[in-house]
Amino acid sequence: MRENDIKNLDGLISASLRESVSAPQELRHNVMSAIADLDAQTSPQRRAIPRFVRYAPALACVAIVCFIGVTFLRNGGAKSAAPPQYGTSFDYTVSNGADSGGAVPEIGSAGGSATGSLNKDMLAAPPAAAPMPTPSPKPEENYSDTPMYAAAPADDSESPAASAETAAIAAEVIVATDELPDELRDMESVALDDGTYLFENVPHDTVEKLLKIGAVLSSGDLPEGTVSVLWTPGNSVSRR
Amino acid sequence: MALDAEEERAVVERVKCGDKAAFEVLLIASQNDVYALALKMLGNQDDALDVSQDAFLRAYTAIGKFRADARFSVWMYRITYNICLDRLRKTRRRSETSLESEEGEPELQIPDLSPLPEERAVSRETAKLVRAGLDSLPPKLRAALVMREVNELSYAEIAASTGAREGTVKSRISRARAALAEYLRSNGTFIDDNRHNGEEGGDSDA
Repeated sequence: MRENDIKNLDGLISASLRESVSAPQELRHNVMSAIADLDAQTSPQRRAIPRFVRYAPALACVAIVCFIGVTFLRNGGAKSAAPPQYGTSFDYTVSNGADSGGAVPEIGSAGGSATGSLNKDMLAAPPAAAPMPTPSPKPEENYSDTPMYAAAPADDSESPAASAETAAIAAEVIVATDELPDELRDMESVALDDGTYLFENVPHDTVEKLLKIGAVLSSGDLPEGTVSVLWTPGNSVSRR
Repeated sequence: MALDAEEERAVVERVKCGDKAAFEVLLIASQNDVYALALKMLGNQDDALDVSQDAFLRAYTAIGKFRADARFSVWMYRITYNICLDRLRKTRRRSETSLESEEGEPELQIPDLSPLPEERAVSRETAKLVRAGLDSLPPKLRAALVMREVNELSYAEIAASTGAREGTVKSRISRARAALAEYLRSNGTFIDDNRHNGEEGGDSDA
């Protein structure tokens, strides 16, 4: 390797990395086989699931709705409506059922012996529903829930302080000017292949000045609290 | 076989309707790019194959959620990128806790691939050094550089694939290049250009 190789790093990288890489033959075969297996597995499995298990979520929903309805009727609905028809599952006596208005329901008539007591307050307070856990996607599955070209997901490489700086500074504004702003004139820059210039580690006060004069910019990420500034030469002014 | 955006969209619609053969068309069109990204990210052919398979399977199962206004190829890059990052994190965690790794577990394998004509101009040693330097970069910088140099994506496409802003992508690529140059300076064996020129042309000013 020669010193010139380093100077011509882009060429060196390109020559070294832009080798033609062909996926192995087995990739296609393996993927298609896996897909065939996947499809073959899911369909019969779905058919093989017992009807009870398959409809369990629906049955659970119906049961919850029924429970809420019964609780509601017992609590307030009974005052103006006919007394609820109790089922066989309530093997309790209501200690002050006379207060509920209307006729005292016949509790336990079909269910056998009464084994406890259930007062009105207990009936009035339905058990608090357990909070449903919200499944959080695994990091590697984020792709499926993240809309493409929508709001970009948070970049976890940025420190909290740096993120705050980004929010303050990088409103994704690019203002192209025909001359390099004075504030950046003495700084080293990297000319990118799309015609923009990248200034790394720009001091915050410089960025503030550039923002004030409207001479910049799109910012990059902020390694260790620093700011990268992209300057696009040209007369046109564009904002995004 | 590359598909343009319109063709890609039509094929994706067929896949959404349950056409498995259409998915194979997408697979054939993007398998080399997906595999190349995984290979450069992970530096290991077995891992790259594994990740590529995983990426395509996930794409197949989640194709219903794919938005038609996006490019399938970019979506595939994104899936592959996420799986690679995840795998590298796990590998790093394992290596941090593994005593064996502290005792000198071999480094990531450097794929020995057949060089292109351009690469023939560069010595085999230099190419290996560049690949090793690439492995030494933080994964996000490496991914950005690989997508730009290997997959030849635009900054906007890289931004869409990695979920970063375009400015961030430019910054990452620039820093990746700088870090790679530093790595080569530190680890390369240099030939004195002046002496070399002098030997060749007899015009040494050293």
